[in-house]
Amino acid sequence: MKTSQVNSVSPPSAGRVDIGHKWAVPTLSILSVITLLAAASFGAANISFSDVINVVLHNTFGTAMFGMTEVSGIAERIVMELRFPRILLAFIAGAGLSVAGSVLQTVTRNPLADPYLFGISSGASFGAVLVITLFSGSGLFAESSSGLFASSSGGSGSGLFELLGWISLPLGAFLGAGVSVLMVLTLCGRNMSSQIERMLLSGVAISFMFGALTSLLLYFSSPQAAASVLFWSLGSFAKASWEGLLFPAVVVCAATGIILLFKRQIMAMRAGDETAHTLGINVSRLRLQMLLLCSLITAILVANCGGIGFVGLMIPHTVRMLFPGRFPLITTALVGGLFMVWIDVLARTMLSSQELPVGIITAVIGSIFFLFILGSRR
Amino acid sequence: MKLWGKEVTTLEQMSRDKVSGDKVSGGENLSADNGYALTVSDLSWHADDRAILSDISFSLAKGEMLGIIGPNGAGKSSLLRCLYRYIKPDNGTISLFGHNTSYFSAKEFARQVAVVLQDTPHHFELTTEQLVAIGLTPHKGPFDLTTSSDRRLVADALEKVGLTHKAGQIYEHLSGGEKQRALIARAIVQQPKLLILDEPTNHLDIRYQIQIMELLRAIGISVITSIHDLNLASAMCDQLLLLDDGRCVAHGTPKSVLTEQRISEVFDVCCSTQPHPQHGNPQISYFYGYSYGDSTHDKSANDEAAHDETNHDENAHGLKALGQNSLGQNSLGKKAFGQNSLDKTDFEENSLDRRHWSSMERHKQDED
Repeated sequence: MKTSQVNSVSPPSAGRVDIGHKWAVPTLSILSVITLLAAASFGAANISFSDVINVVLHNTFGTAMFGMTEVSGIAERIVMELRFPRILLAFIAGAGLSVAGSVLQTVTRNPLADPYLFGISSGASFGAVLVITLFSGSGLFAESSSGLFASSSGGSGSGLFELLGWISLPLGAFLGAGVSVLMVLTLCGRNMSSQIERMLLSGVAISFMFGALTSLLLYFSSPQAAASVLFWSLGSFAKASWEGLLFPAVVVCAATGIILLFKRQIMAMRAGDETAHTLGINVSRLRLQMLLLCSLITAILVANCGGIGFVGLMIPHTVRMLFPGRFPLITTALVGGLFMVWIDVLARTMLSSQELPVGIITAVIGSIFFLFILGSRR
Repeated sequence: MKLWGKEVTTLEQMSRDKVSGDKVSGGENLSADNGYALTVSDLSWHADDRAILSDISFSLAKGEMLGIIGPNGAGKSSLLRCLYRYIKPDNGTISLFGHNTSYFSAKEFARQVAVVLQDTPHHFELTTEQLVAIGLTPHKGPFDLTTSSDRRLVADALEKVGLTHKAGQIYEHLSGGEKQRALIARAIVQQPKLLILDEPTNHLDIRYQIQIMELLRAIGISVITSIHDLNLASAMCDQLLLLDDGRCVAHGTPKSVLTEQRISEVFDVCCSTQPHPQHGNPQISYFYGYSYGDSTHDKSANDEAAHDETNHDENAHGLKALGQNSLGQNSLGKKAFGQNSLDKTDFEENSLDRRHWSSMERHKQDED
């Protein structure tokens, strides 16, 4: 009798929630593949969607299929070496920032938490700018700072130097982010009841402090470093290359994987610190671990494509509105990635002569979204 | 009510099943418990140089329900927090089923003890079913998926508390009583051997208060709950622990704890107790009419009134409640009335009463 009752009652109510969610991941995955191809047909050079497909087929199977006309070598190089890495980087960045935002909002139970608001981005920017100013004298970053919107660096300088430059920039960004996280954590205190408010406020304070320090560095540094800060504060995917993709991809995927393992605990954190404690969760430790993971994601992304704000705020909220009550991490990641790719397409095509930094577009959309949330929360 | 009654009976069957299941699974490492679910000895805790709990000792037999009563600020919540290890006491030992609580890892402890707290945070966008499923957390490793038996556990718990039809609804949109029952269902899913609740009947109307308490009894495990309503505590709890200013004033059956003398001393109110017609435990009737005031004028009025009073032992504790004889002898409408006074008062006095009541309420709010 018991089981029959359960069976008759629970499927409709449970099913209503599940169906939407069940189809979300496959649908979004298919959309992502289409987006990857479609987004590659936008840009300064006129390359059509069929050309893109042709290039992909040519590269995967070695021949043009169905009697399609052979695409020119230049178009193929543009698609394969410029556009695909860029689209993938945008996708990874969007996914990573959305995941980080989603986790931060959950573990702090603050709907307005996002990596940008926590001072992680400004800390990472400071770390990166510090590395640039310190090494710009040695000529190490002459190229990367002047060639902001060029895709691949030439090849001058020794390999060791290049490796050092390649590794020290993300490292600097990560250390900056780590320092800002530790400062926020020290400032937020142990008192559970006021911890979250203090966390947000100290995040804002740390943000301003690192912003000021970055400005100070810029004031005393070369024009090249000053030009590069625009990149760090507004964000761009122009620097994307296949080699540069590896590190962010690995970090974002690994961190998302680890977060998925803690999904249950993160879910339980929503019920409040004290309740989470009674569910066998070491609340402060989990929160610290998640903050560090999020700062790792953010730092690696800031190091590769600058500080892109508001994505980590908007996407998790939108997804949560669509799938209330869940912690749909994969869906959030996919939606974030898709959003970012199309924002980047917008950035590339909005002005005919030049491209806009993506950060400007996300900030415009994000600030409106921010106000919308504030309005609807009351 | 009928529906609820039906649910309770199925519930009892289920809880019996569950208890027998527990015996099979939990028997191996719980041999040293002497039949006690919890033993607390010499527990003390202070915060900011102020003693919150001092020298509290008690024990709870398995399967019994302990109600923790006492005035606001007596240390009820702090005591519970010590019990579920949220705060670390300065002194004393707490043993759970024969083991010191520090013996358990966080996860193991959560499998033994489930806690239902008063307040849940806002923006809690979970469906009832998902909230209840959170109770699985201490039973799951990082790679464990939610199995069909887990889902059955959740469905059973929802059925136990009578919320199956609300499974898909957003928790925030439930009524107060339903929220509380959902939280209890979450605790049931946690499959604990001891359930701790912090004022589960707060803000609920009387029907839900009784419903929640009967539900707790029907689960069939040891329960510790703090509770404000003394009559409800008297009716529902096997044991009561009366706290006052961080000290254990009395511990025992409702009959032995809830005496008129003790209630007046601890709660500062006048009352009489008689056996409840149904369950025989003390039924408390409070007397009304306490003049609260900080001005000297009030004080003199009260003194005057107290002077005229008939002999009442309870009033020795600074009480200003008056017996029925003293009606009309107060100045300035600072009127206190006894049991029969309402019949006697005319319209004007009634309006004064109302003013008096509102000032009393304000006073209470200030205190809170």
